Amino acid sequence: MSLSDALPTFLAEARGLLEEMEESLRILKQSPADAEAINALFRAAHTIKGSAGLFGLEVIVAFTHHAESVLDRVRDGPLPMDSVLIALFMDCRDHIENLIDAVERDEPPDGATLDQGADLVARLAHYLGHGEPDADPSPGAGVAPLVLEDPVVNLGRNGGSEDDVWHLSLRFGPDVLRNGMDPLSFIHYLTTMGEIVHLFTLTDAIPPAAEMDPEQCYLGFEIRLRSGVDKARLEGVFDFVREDSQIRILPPGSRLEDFRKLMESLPEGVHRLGEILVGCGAITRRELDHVLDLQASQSTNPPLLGEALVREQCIQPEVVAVALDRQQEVRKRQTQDTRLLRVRADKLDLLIDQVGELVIATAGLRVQSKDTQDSVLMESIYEVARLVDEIRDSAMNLRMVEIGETFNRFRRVVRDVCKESGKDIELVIHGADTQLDKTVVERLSDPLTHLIRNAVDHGIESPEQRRARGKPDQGQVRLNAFHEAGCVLVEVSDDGGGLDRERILTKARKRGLIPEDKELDDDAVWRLIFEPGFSTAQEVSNLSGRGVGMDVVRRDIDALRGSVEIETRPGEGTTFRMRLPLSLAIIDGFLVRVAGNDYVVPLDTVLECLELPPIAEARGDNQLSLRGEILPLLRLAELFRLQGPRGRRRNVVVLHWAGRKAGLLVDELKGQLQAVIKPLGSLFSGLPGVSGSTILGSGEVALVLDVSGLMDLALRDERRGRNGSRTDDNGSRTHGLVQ
Amino acid sequence: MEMILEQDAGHCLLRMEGEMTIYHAMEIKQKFMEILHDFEEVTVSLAKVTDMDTTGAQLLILIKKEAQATGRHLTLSDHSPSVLAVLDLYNLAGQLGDPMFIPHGHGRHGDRS
Amino acid sequence: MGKTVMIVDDSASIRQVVGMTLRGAGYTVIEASDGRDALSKLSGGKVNLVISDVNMPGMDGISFLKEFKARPECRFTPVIMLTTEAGDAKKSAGKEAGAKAWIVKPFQPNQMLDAVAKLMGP
Repeated sequence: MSLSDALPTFLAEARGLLEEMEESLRILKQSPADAEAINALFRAAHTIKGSAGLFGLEVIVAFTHHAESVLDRVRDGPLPMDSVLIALFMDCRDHIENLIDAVERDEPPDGATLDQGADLVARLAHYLGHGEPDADPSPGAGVAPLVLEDPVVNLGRNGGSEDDVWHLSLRFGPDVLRNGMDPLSFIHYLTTMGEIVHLFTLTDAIPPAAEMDPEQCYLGFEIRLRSGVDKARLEGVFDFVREDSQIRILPPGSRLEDFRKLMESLPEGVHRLGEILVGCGAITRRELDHVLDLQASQSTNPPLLGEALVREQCIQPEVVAVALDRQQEVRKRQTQDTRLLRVRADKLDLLIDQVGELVIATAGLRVQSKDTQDSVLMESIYEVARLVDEIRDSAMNLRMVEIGETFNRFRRVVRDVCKESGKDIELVIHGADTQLDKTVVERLSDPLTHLIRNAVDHGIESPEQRRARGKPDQGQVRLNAFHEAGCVLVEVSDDGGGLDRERILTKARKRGLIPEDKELDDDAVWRLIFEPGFSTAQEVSNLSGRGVGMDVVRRDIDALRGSVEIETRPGEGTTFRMRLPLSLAIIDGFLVRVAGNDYVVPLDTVLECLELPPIAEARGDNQLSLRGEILPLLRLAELFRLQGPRGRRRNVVVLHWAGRKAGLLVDELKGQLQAVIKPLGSLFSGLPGVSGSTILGSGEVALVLDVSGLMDLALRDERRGRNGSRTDDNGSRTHGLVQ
Repeated sequence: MEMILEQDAGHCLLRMEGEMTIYHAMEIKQKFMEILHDFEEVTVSLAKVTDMDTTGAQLLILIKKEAQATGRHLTLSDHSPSVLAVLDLYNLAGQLGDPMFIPHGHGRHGDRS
Repeated sequence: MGKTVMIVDDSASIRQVVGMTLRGAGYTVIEASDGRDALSKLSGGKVNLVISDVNMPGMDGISFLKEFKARPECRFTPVIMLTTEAGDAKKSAGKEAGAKAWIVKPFQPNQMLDAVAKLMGP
């Protein structure tokens, strides 16, 4: 059977789709905004393009691609459908029909048809935001992006010469097997492209049985492949796993540098140097043994292994040089993993501390140098400050670790809890390679455990309930980490029943957390589960409600200067989103002054600064209108009950955090600085709105503001304002220091 | 996947029947660990394995390593064609060390000395 | 051992050509015209690989994928999604739902055969 046997199917299908297009266009004439008709029109064009491509009908593919692109814009909204467009699409439809007719007659489209096509493409291009026809609509249109040869035909032809031996170094990602991507298949596929001269399977990464996840892939491969194909083709074999795996391919006759890089990037450790050389096929086992014997027999001033190998003319000098480098490393480090250096955490902490002091001292130097008016000195100091910045960044980087290891531990937690509760739950992990501060990762472990247990225990329904709701029996808990705007976001989601608003309200009232008659918006209701006293020890075993130890979660996250958001949909599931700072020790800050005291605001929370109009100040406004947007205004001096002398002017720092905004009213804006955060003593650790202290260049101490806490205060303030129970500014507002 | 256990004092024979694939990896691992825990001498027969994927190969390596670490005597025997195909492609015969077929891959590079 | 591939696409000609190409290479092929059809044709039996279009009337590719991956006997089965170059949002939704392999439409029959061979092994 050949492609032409299927052509009648294509023609019949295309004619059917052309009819659908006509029908959709008729509907659109009556009601141009009919989404269903637009969708049908798009899908018809899309299907014609896809099928035509399969038959190599490039003229149809190219033309339909233009029509489809414009339809895509109509479908997505930016381009409204109107009578002009409808007429244009009608012409396009007719043109496609002409092209199909030509295919049926088995002849190329005639000149008039081609001219008509070019004219239509120009008209379509007008709607795509560029004046001229899209000259190169690839990768979609025209020639298919990759025309691969038939692998069966290639059998035997790709034998290649003796020298065409490629080296492939493959380390498959942990999830490939679960994704249905078995290394076995890829390696088998390689055998259709050439001959595997040697293959060594690295099983080193398989952990002890207790920790081994049988669905995870732990294998690595070193492969010598004799093949005459090109590199792109060879790399293409691993397209589907490239994202998650380490795939390295060295072409035949690779240079020293390439081998060196490859060897340095291998995770297995240099004790296996000999094996790898043998596995590479650079030398044979016998040659290696021979040389080792020779080296051992020359007891006095023995030549180095590498020299011995080269003298014996077994291998190229450059390969040995690489190998020896590796061996020296291992001697120096005495550690299994050549890429890692083990350092005691306290040494690292000391370094960070010292870098912190250095940052402070440099800031001091800068302040003092300004007084000298010595431009040469100031320039030198500026240079030093720049270097200190770099050192700071490098030092902070040392503390960054991937969160994956912590994530993986929860597989067991989920499995155990599943066993206890008789549920079938899959843990899906995303963003395991997201890096964050070691301390943050460590201190995240407890709250994460809470949240995951909670999701499994209470979030995900029983299999019976799930079935009744039309969900698959197997529930899913997801762990996700990613970076966003100077923060790390860690999410725990489940596809369970969602939070129960009524139950939470009832319980909160019963516990006296809110007054009987008080109405709350959803967000506030969800937040209730974090309140201390919302759940009690009794409920740990009670599977019906949520909130086991959630106040602890909140406290842990607060302690990390982070915040938690909840997103929940009844019947669909709940997401707990933790927003965490990248680092705990040193931040870029913004210095402000209020009533004679200095405060530091984390710079990444600052949106903008502006001067408060005197009239707003005189009125004692608690809200601020910023370009039409009403923001709560936090009066820092009143909040902290500061008694010091106030400046003449008032400035507002607009803060944002976790999607919320607020204005912070201060006296003076003093600009950016680097703040080395010192933790507050236990006496002050409960202070809302303050997360630490720092020492300024002048030697004075400034408090570092906790924007998340301030936002909560602002929110409370806003609600109070809305309820009309605002109190006198100088009066008895007791939120803040006293609780 | 069926795993049939025959035992007498201290020794057991575990017959693997069916697919040693990811769909059964969890139960196979658990079974492997159980028999290694319970018996001094273990033979795993692979004669009736109809299909094997990478998880199956990994589990064979795991049980070998584990037996070695815990001082158990483990033999993998009667490899079926599906098992041999995988172990052959992965060139694992040497690492597993059981007699199964004539290992390939030796002396391919010729003698250069 | 014969392996089974399921092709889910609303275009009969694509189903026919893909089916023809894969059968020619020795695979057993099941054809389905949308997600719903595919799920009903799956019932009970196992397939070794699924190729699914994203944009289909009835049940679309992403919803199908989610239901497919939710079945215990299918959760580790590889899925190749057919997509247009414009479908980036679709692609991330597909990734979420468990698709790791993508082929951009229009494609050549041999491209499809190649992709299938990469995933199916011996």
